[in-house]
Amino acid sequence: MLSPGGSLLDRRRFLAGSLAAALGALSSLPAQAEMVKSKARIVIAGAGAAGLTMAARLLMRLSGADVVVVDSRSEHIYQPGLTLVGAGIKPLSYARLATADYLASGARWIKEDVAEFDPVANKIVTDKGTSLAYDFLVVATGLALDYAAIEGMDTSLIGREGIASIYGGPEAADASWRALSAFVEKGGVGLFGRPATEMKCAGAPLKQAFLADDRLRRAGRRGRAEIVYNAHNQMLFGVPPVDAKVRALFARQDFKVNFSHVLTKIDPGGRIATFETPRGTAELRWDLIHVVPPMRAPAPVRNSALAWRSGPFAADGWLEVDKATLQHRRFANVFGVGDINGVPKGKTAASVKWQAPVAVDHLVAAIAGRRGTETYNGYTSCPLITRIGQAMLVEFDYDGRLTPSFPFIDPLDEHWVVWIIKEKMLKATYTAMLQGLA
Amino acid sequence: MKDFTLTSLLAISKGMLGAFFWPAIVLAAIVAVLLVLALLRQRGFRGSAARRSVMAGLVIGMVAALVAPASTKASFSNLHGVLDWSMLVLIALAGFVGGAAAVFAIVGSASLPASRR
Repeated sequence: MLSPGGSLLDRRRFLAGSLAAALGALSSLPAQAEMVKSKARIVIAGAGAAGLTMAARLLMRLSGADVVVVDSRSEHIYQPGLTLVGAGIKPLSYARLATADYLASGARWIKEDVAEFDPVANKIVTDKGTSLAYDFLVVATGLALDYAAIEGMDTSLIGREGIASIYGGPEAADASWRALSAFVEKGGVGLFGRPATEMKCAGAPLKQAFLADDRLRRAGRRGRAEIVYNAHNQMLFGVPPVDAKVRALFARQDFKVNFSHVLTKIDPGGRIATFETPRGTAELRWDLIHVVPPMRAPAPVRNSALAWRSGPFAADGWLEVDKATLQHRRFANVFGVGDINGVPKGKTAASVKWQAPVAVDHLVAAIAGRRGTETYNGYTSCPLITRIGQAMLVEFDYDGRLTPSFPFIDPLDEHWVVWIIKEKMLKATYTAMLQGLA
Repeated sequence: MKDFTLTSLLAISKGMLGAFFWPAIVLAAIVAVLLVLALLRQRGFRGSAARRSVMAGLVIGMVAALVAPASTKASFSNLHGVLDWSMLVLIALAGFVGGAAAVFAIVGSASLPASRR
């Protein structure tokens, strides 16, 4: 029953890893963290994955604190599901959740958006003019998608003229699936790529290329299409061993690759994409183009004293936090969790799972008058789908070291089991995380 | 791995099963009670009830393995290496054990006690 490729070494490694995992799970009882009594006022800016998780975890540690979440959105988007919606594997509704269903009881919810951060005065001001003073601030705003930075691009175009972009949300992902379906039907040139800015889930643009390829093969139409991936620099993925693997996979699947191609303009009518390259501009015609917008910090953070003032994260206004403790480097009562952080890696939902306990530890320690002990190592995770039914569980830290959670899963091997984790288990793990339970 | 505690696993199971979570728990509890009853009535896992449950378990295990890839929108061609095939074997085993236990629980508790045969 073993596949022809299974070696004795693989079997030994698998058995050893399984035993270690089983013993680990049985022995890991949660240490009951002490509840701290406090009347601290804590404002959490944002009710995305990071904001809801922080609210839940803080209320598990603090008794009597006033925890306020500020976010106008009633809909909570399960963003890891957008890849699956965009490839027609899940319906639009799969990526939609309701904030109210996951907001921790005990947290107050102000359905407005932060318009201004004033860390000197320890207050925020909302877009409706509400002023909220705080003792501690958690910045969990997520990031802003800057579609306007691509000349000619507008979110209303998604689903039309062969334009796809799953990042725009559930409706955009659904429209992207329609664009992909039309491409599978008619064939032609499919353009994929990513921006030169920081971005969330750097694996998603690769996944879209792989899924488009798989859809074409399943329809028996791969010969009528060309898949072209436009990398923004000389790498396909920022972690060297993964980059090498992806290059091999791209070669196996017959993808054409252009390096150092950054999308700057599209002409929807003529279906021409313009790229900035070291040798000047390059124009490519598309039948399908998956647009991934440049990403930056939302304006209220970018325009505040909280943003990095110098260094690689300053230009796009990312939050200036210590990369290990996630505490602001200049305002000790401010913490950052999630995509907003100006740290080298960590813009995935899985990163939130590891960041939140660290931020909570240091925030609660500050309330209790002691020092926190937890640190975040940059953990980032990407179930890199290589076809429907297979994925690689890529996990790494700040230093680009692979850090597998499951010792028996080779991070650079494509497995059905990893696909099962993505397709069946990840959403439930995500919603458990929102409730502070995972 | 250190963060996957019992509480986490329970929360994740609840998320995966959704509205079916509590009915599944109740059903499992009923089957467990019937299983104990059946073991007592049959004085162990024996007799025609045991034979029938093993046969049923084998069928259920095979069906579980056959449909598992498709239930995840995958196919057998997606299975790669020791890990994936071991998962399939585990699914088959779970189907066999669970199926056999459920059938024995029902048949064994409904059959005549071993002492009367």
